[in-house]
Amino acid sequence: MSLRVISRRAQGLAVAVSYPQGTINGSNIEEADMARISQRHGGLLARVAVGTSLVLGIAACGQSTSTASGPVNVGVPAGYSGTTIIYGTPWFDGVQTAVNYINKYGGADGHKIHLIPVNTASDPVDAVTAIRQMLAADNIVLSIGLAALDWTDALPILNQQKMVSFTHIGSPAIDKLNMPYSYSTGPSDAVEGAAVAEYANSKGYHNVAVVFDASQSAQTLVPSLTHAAGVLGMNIVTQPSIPVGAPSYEAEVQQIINSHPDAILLQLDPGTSGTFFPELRALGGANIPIIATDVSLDPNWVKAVGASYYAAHVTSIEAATQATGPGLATFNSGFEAQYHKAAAFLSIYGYDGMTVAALAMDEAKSTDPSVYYSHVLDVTTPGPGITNVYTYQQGAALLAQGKKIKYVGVGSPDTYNQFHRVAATFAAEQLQPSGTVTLIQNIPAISLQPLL
Amino acid sequence: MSVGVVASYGGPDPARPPTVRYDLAVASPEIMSTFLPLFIFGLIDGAIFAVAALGFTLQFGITNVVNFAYGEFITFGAYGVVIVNALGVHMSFWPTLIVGGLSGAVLSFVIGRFLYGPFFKRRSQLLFSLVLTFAVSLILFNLYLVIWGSGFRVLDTSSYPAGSADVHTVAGVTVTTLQVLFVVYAVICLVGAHLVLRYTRLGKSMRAIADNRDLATVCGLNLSRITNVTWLITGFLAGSAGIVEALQTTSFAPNLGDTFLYLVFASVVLGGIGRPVGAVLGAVIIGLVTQLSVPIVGSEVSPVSVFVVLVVLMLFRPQGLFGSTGRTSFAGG
Repeated sequence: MSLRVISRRAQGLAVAVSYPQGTINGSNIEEADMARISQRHGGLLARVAVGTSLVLGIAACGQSTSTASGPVNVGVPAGYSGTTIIYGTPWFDGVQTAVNYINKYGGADGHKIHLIPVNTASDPVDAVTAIRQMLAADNIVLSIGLAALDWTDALPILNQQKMVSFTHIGSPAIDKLNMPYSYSTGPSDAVEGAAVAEYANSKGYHNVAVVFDASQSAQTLVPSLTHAAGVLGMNIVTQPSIPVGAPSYEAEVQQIINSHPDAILLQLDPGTSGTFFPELRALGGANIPIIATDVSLDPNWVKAVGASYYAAHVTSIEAATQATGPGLATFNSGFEAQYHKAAAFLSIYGYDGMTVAALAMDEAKSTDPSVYYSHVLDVTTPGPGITNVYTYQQGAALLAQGKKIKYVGVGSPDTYNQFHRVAATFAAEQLQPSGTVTLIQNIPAISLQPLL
Repeated sequence: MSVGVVASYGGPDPARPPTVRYDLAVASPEIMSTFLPLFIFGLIDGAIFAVAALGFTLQFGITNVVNFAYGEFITFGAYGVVIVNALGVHMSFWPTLIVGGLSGAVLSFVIGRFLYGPFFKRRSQLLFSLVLTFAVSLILFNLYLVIWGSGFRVLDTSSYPAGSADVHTVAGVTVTTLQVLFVVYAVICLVGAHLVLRYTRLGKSMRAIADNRDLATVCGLNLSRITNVTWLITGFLAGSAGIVEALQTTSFAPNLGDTFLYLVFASVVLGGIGRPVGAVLGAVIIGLVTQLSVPIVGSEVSPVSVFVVLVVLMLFRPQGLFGSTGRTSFAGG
């Protein structure tokens, strides 16, 4: 293990213990919750405590309870430290925005929701410890979290314990897994990779460079992208795997430029992009069109790349959001009221997952995961006689009248297939300085199906 | 030996393009067009690492502290300029370097004088040194996160001289004005360090302490004062290296210094711990290996190649290229 890995791991742990009370990068997380994060990664004593609580709390697993109208706990496992720290906080912020809104209208099945941040340190091993403790000690009724790097061992535990979870896992590894209690708020990376290739093909780019960083989250997209490119008859002229966080990428950039691509299909994290793109510009690749994955819709990414360059050369591909309508307006106003900034793309999916779960609890008239889990599909599946709703308030009101609803999410239509994956239309978009996203072109789901 | 290009397929996926590798047995005229730019890029990278490596090796040589928090000293240089920029002060390249250097110097002095110094008087063993500096590294890193967040920052370069971002192409090699300035600064640092260590009283005292602390103390050298000055000087080098690195990567976050630290360590070890010239040449070698290995072994393996070279060299010269055996390897040059 390299010094850097050790350092990052240790730093990750330390992040959890050293934030001031009440904030994680500006997010409002209560003092008690900070203590929980600290406890989870506070060293030997914390681990002893974890072990003890595991033994004492094992009987509580899967038996989440709440008083008739008292608050219920929802765990938010995410990488608040470690490699994907940049995504943990936006995810939590999105969930918190949904909770504020749900609580404002009476709470899920009449229960106010209390969020408990659970730090997975962006690591699958740390995530297992954190999830086990969450299940044993936090008396939760829902887990909303787990994403790119931390889910592999933790997700099966949640299912075994019959705990409903809403995740944001892009890995195609779960595309065909039957996990009745788990729902993924985002589409499979396999579809996103295909969407990137399809868009490039639609623009007439035949010779493309595939430039993805070496992280697991980026590399999961590459097989589906190259497969789709092959089906479309495109020519991949170069395909370097870019090391994350290197001081320079001039050799790789030179290799890309020398291959004379019509376009670069790309996913690089913000830090890597900040180094890569100035070198691409300096070495003569400034005018090569860039087609990037949804990571490029993060304001941090745009900042790292440079706003003017982004506007001129980059097109971002993501699962189509509901770019207009009451859902987006409600989300945006709620988010901006609390955080005074534009939301990152991941926040939207956390918001959607929390809203769907609350509506499922309303319909089931229960916050017991073993009861309401099957109602998730009831409130998200379209059909005749079912009314589309775009906010929790709309859905809760109709459910109270005994009507059937279909929640249409802000991040995606939130229609789940039999493996609880959302099937999504994709869109080519650009993030504007105001934080809004401009639609350039839709990439219909039907055009992606033959490429998978 | 000649170099040629061959294509090999990376896997069974027919859509995957051939990965270009260079077969050293096949002659090709592409050697110049391919490797000359990479050689120059490697030199530039080496210059960028060299400033930090110079500071690190001086610090270790004189204070005898393996400072894992050095990466955070580097980072603080960049954030020092962020603070000044936030006050509405916009500076050109050289003042930016100086402000970053001074920021690093202040932090280094405070940590070295008021934390490391008292601690190592009581606990001088290497293990305690490692644990303490590692702890300081974590504390500083998390302080940066709390103060500045995990988001990316960009140094304000609006006041830089016109043409700083210009690119120049000579013999097929493209470099920016800023990269040329990095190299100039690295040379200034190296020459400056050499002159100070060779020809000034302070430098001679530093060398004496590095060579034999007990003997230097017995001879009447003020160990405390010289150590403090060392923290200041090496902190300045770390802070200014932070500016160079922040400009090189364009945007930066609290992990800026850590991104470079392992390469700085590698440079120092390669050149011989405590050897200023060795650290700089080690940095240049690391830079060259980083760049030149990409077309040979591919981007995926390139970062590892640095350590392969390091390990192989350590097998034959454990003391590094310029280190000597049997004594503290610090003699100012």
